[in-house]
Amino acid sequence: MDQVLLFITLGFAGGAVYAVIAASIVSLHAATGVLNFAQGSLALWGVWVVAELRHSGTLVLPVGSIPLGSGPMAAWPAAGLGVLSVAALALAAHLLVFRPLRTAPPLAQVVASVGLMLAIASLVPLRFSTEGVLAPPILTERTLEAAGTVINVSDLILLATALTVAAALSAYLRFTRWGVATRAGAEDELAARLTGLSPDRLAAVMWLLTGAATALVAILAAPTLGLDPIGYMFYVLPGLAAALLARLTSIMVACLAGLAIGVLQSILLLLSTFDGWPVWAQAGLGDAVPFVIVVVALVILGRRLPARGALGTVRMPAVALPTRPWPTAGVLLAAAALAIGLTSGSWRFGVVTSIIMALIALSLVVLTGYLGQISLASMAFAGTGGFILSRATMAWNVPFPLSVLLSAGVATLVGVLVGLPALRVRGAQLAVVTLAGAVAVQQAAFANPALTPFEGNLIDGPTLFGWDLAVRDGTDLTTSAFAATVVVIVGVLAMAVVRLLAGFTGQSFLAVRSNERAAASVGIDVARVKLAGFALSAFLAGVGGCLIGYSRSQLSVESFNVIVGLSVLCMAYVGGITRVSGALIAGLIAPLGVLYTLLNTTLGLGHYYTLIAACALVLTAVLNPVGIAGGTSGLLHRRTPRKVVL
Amino acid sequence: MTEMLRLDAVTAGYAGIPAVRDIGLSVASGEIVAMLGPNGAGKTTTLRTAAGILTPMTGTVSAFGRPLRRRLEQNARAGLVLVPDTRGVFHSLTVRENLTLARRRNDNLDEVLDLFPALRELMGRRCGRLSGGEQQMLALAKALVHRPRVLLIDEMSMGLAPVAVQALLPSIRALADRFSVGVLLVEQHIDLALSIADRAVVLHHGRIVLTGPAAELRADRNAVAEAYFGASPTHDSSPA
Repeated sequence: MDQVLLFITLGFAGGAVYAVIAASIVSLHAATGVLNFAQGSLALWGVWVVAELRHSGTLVLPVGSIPLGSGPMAAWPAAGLGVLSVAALALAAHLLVFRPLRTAPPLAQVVASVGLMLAIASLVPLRFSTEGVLAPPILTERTLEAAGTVINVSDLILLATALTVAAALSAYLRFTRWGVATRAGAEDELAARLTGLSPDRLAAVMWLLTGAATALVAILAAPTLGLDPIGYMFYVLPGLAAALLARLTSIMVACLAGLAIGVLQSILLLLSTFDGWPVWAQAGLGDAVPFVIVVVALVILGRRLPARGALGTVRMPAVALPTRPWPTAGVLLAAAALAIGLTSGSWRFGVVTSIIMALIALSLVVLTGYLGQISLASMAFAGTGGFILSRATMAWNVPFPLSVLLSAGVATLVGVLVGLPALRVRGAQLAVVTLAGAVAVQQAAFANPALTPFEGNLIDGPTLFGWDLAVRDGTDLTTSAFAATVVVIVGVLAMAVVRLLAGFTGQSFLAVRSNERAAASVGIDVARVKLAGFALSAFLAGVGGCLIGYSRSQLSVESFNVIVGLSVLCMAYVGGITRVSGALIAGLIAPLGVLYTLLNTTLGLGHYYTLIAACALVLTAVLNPVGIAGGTSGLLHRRTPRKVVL
Repeated sequence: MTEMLRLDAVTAGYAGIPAVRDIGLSVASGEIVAMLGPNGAGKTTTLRTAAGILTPMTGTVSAFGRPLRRRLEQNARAGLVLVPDTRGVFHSLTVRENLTLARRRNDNLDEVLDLFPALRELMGRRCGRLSGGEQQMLALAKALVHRPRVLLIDEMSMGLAPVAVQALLPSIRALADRFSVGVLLVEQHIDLALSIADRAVVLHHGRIVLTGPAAELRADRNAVAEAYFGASPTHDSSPA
């Protein structure tokens, strides 16, 4: 019992951060309608600003630094500056990103929010020296004894701070005139302005308050939780889970749910030390908890068909159907052959990676662009394909191409499982579910030592009728035989998808995307169409994951981590998520693709790739919600209107 | 009567395409001007331009003797208040919150509630749970708490039962008289609108095709009907 109490209190620090992030997300959603995926990254920035101030006395800004003394700064002034710094960053996010997007489709807001999350997280290792920096205590180090257990007073203070901050945010929105006006502005901006209110200013106040609140608790908790160059970014997932449990309406419920998740994770840690606990469940189960909670909560709280009047939440950019697929395919095939023939080494690897990533981006075009289901789990589907391929080729000796079909089939099943919540969850909330699902798959499967062979996830090169199609041959990094195999597989799948989207399946997807109730009323089985979309998307991503596996010969969790998945979504969005041609552009600018090769080998800017990609994402979301393909297509076809589906 | 709102030769529309052309009209304090016309005639566009939501392509809009300000909220605070066809009330807030949200110093909440006594019983109820008629009452009350000098009312009767419309429209006459508010009223119930208005304009295909005192137009329904179905413009662009 004393151990249980101890682990409950040990969960307070993480739970407090989840709680304040959850409270901030609900508050921001109430004030602006934005579901802010970047709230964890704001906490990350604040923690590192304080660490640097306490290490060197320098205030690090996103651009430039201000030395504030010759030595380390005292704890509380540093914490104060950290809070102010994050509040200013949150205000800048409102003014530069979310204010221009206030009337944009939810997808644009989600993508911008993900872009901001990645941009801040990628700035941290660039702006701070993250090696060997510690977070010295800010709160008291005293302990007290209760029920035979020694409890850190700092953990109790963190618990009280999180509850107080959440109560203050709740009281602000509920009882103050500004708070009520903020809620009014979020509900109907035009009506608020016609009432004489300034929704922009009220939203700015909320960004400031939530930025400061999140930073305060994270900074106070950092000495307990430790410093990590990226970890705090993912604290947004339990935070989002708690916020969704509170149906994005109750700040206090969100706060309590966040605390409960922290405590539950801590208890699971305790349980994993018990003898009877299964080995496979010893790692990653805590990360899967938010996903399970989110799914259960949303499935219980959600509706199979959206309520009347709720359809605006799935508004998406227009889709342009391909008009001349065969000539375009011929040109692209010739271009791919030329690119493979004229390149070698890292450049050919970049070309092949771009082609594979285009296939994974196509899976997002199908699922998100055509079917309207915002999914952040594409890389988890790809990873499933890749990791099953490793078993299929090394342990079960399944020959190519059956190995690919088997692996993509398993990925398809995972896709259907992750897609099940989509029957009741929509819009930005589905993005949260799929992201939580991706993290759960990553931590519980890809990164689980119990499921990883001793020698690592090796992959045997493909052969077909005795013909060696392996990626490497001596010093040749990417053989032309493997490159041709990739082109053929991706080309065949892409054409199949284009044919499918041009037919009844595509029409059903678009009908569901446009209006689920209307689609159901004309006899379309919305649930089946959604699951078919998830299955098709996961199959494509699974094949992509297999091709990535063959191209690397060995897989690690880093090959398919959530950040790569988010980057692919970014790329797909920047390319144009509602167009097949957008997937091609996404492939060119995807991680380790042609643009990355150019930045890394020619310009020496590989370290800045994620930052550049994230900023491009935010800029595209703000300036051009239909992506590059949509923008260029609009220019090219200004005189000849295309068939456009809204 | 003092002129409160004036549109001079206003052309306005969407994405560079005019929806109304050469509109000229004015509203004085305590005066109700009814704006009539078939669907698509440009009534709402004219109203949105008068409120400052749309910027005129050509022509000018002035309120209280000076051009409209750039920000909508500034115009609202100055006393130019639009009650949109969507009613402009906040469904997640209570009736009290809706009303107090709009309050300024020297508000007249008690006077407004005297005009709509039914709202006194509903102060704690969330607006989303009100009936259509109650929401419309709240929309008017919310607009009046501002102490507006000009009210722009867009199809107040939309979605309401005829009985509710008959009960609500006369309250607009009462508030114009009691608070000396100038009202530009877009309405599809022609007889009711003409019965409470001082003057009326009829729009067709984005142009004013008929203007005159409301009582005269009410007496000459044929002229109004002809205007509805597209009679030639009989009106220049100077304010009616």
